[in-house]
Amino acid sequence: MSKKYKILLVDDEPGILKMVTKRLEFEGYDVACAVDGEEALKKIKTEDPDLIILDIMLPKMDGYEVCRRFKEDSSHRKVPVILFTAMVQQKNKQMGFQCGADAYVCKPFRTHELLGKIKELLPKEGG
Amino acid sequence: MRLGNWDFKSFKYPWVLKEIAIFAGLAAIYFLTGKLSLRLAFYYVSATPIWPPTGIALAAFLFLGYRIWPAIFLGAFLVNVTTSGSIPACLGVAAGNTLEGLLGAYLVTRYAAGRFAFEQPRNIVFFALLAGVGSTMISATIGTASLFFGGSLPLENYAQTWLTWWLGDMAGAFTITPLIILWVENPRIEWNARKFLEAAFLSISLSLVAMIVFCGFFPSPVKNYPLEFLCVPFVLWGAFRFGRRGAATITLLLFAIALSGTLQGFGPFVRHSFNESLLLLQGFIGFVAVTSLVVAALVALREIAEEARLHLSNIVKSSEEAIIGTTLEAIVISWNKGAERIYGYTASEMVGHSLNAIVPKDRYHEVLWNMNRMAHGEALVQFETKRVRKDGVEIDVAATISPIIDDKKNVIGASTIVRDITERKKLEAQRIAQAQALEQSNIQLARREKIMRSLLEDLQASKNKLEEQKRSLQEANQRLESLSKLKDEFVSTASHELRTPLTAIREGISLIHDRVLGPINDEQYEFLSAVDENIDRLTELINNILDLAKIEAGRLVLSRKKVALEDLIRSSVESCKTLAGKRELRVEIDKVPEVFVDSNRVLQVLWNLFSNAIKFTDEVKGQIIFKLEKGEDGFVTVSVRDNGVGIAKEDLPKLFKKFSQVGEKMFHGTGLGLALCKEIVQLHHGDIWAVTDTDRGSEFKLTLPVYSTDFVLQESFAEHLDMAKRIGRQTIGVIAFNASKFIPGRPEDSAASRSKRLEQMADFFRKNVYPSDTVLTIDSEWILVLGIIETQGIVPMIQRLSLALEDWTETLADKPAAFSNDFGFSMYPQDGGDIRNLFETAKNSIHKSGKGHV
Repeated sequence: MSKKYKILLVDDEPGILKMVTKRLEFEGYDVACAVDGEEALKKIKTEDPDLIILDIMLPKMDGYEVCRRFKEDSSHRKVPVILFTAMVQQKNKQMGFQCGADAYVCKPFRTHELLGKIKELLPKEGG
Repeated sequence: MRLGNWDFKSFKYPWVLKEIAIFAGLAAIYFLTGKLSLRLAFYYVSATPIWPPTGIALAAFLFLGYRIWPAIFLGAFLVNVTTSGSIPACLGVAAGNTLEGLLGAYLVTRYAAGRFAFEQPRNIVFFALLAGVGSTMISATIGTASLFFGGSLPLENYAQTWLTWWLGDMAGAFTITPLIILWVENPRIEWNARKFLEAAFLSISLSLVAMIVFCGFFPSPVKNYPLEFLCVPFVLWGAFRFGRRGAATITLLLFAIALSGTLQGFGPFVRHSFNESLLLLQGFIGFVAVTSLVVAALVALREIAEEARLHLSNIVKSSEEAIIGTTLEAIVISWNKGAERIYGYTASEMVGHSLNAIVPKDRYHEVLWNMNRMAHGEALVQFETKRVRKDGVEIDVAATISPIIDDKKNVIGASTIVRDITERKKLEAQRIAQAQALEQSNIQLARREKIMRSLLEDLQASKNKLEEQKRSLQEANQRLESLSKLKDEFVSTASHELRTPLTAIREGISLIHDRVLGPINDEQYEFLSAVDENIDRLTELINNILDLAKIEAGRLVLSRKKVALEDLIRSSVESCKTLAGKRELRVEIDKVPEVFVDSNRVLQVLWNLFSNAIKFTDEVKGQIIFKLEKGEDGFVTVSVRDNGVGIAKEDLPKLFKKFSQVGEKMFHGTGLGLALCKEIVQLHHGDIWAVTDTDRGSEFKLTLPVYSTDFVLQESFAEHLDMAKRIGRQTIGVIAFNASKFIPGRPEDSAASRSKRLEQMADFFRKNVYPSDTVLTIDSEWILVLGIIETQGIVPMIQRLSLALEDWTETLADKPAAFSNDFGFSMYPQDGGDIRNLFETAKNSIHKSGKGHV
């Protein structure tokens, strides 16, 4: 049996959190959740996820800041981050990449688009 | 100090020696003179009718001071002791002689100016009374008393002896003292030959007359005629012509001759006894001596006064200025050379005549007035007026007029000192004229300055007004800006807020639809698919609204580059392949130049057209053809053609309008897609239109501008102008950098590698300028920076760029040696309003100065 990847899902919208968790678990991933920036940073340390899906408009600390801090920490730097947001303007995207994000998925997203990006970013099985 | 061969320095007490010499000499002289004159002592051995030592003693005290009394005392004692009498009597006589001299000297010093007694007639009289008549009584009294008490003078002879003594001393004082003092005081003789001749003549004449009078030369039996008056004129002659020395000398000469004649029994003073005769002679001589001295002193004083007067008159005579003396009636009394020179009239022409000869007729009253002033004792200083010369020429003069006041304080006339100031007046007039001219020009200047100032004030006022307008415009702009920003923000917030629930809806539907939550039947699946499709439409609608809102707010800024349109079409077709399904996709591409577009936006347009084409074509028979070809001048044309339902002609105008749906609504459109496409294409200065044929489908065509330096420049400049306008700024800076030194110039370097390097540099520039600035590459060697910047900010900016470039070139393998001078710049609007010209100006600013601006 292949290794189960753990994904940290950060979103302040409980409905979305619930549904995306359902989808990811359905797709065979372990999912940990956080509802704000500070919790996200804590969970990153405690849960040690393989990938992070991060909303931008978060309470307490926005997704950009979480991403930047996370990427500054050398022990986690290689863990991919997908920014997952309803902010669709070019400048938001650019800022996201500047903060070290690996992918940018606009809400409302197409399921296959998000799943494709996840597959793309996770280390290849057995690799 | 040396005196002869005697070195006083080697002697311990030189002054003592000198004193001893003086004392001894004086005592010796006194002794010898005394001995000589005692020969004439006829009445009594010790009392002679002429006693010169008195004169010597007095002169010695006056010249040498009271301290020499021991010499006098010694001399007098020796004279007497060697003559007759006891030693005590001789000591008494000597004491009398000494006291006489001391007292005489004291009185003369105290009351008759001492040894200067013979300069003033008053002092001469005082000398005669005090030293001649007064102090000599001491000697006579003490002397006769000494002899009497010594027993050698019998009482019956006492009075006679006293008188003889007194008069003898008096004669000595009258004749000898002045002689010594005057000659010692002034021993020099500055006579010319004539004067010597005159002196000789005087001496001889006097001698002759004196001998006739006193020595019996007169061939007459009568020997004693009182003719002594005949001698007076000669004495006066001496006094007048030879001064006091002459008078004293002549007197002595006369005395000597008279004495010898009288002693021989001749002359007017001969009486029964020698003593009596001598007494009379003494009286005469004493009188003559004093008189002649007084006369001589008066003459000398007169001479001094005359000299002073002459000096004054010479001053007046030789003065360059006119000095005119007049009476109070303005009758000329004196008229000097200066007056002759200034007025042209000689003294003889003017003296005795009225001053009016030189006064212009209209100024007669002035003379009257001036004289009236003089009469009241008031002077006029530097009174400037006009006078007339003899030749009729009027001149300017400055006159100082003073009243002439006599000893009794009466005003007896007026003295006028006149200077010709015609030249000065002329100069003054010139100066005044110049000053007036200057004043005039100053006034004009001041007036101009005032005008300028008011102009400046007007300018300042209008500038202030402009500033105010500018401020209010800026404020309005800011308001507009913030309004449009608000709109923009509202739209993006709205978009975000719409997307979030949409996300939940879609994911919820999708979870059911994908049977994640459990099995559903086919009908449920179908409906959920429809829901999903509508969510897609809603999403796209939201996207388009956002873009349109941006375009309308003017906030959609194209980021245009040189792009090969062919590549865009291919990649767009590639990405649409999945969506196209079984429809036929064809691409027909001509060789066309690169375009200047924003790739993302053009892709958006292509995607829109493409998705429309898919929507309106049959899933199987559908055919979509992409075509790229040359268009009109400077444009390329892209067309997307399909074989779908086509569009009715009447619908064409509505096609690109917002929220208009064409046809029978059998296909879902957003109603915004084509409107957005049109906006985007128009932002690129292109055009978009549809060609339709309901039988054969529809064709959409759009044009995009070909990349050209000129176009790029115009576009970027227009963008900056627009931006500047929006943020209330006026100036735009254009920086031109010649990058040729950075472009590899070797033949093996391909054009591609050169342009790659240029682009690399441009990217470097982009990182070092403000985000709003535009960096362009032009003509394969120029980098152009356009920015909204103030004039004073551009040089610092170039310096910053230059420094950054220097750092950057350190990393290059083939770094150029120097490049900082390859910057140039120009400013809009100062250097023009056309970007092509501005670019040229910026380029030229490098070449012109040879140094550029940095």
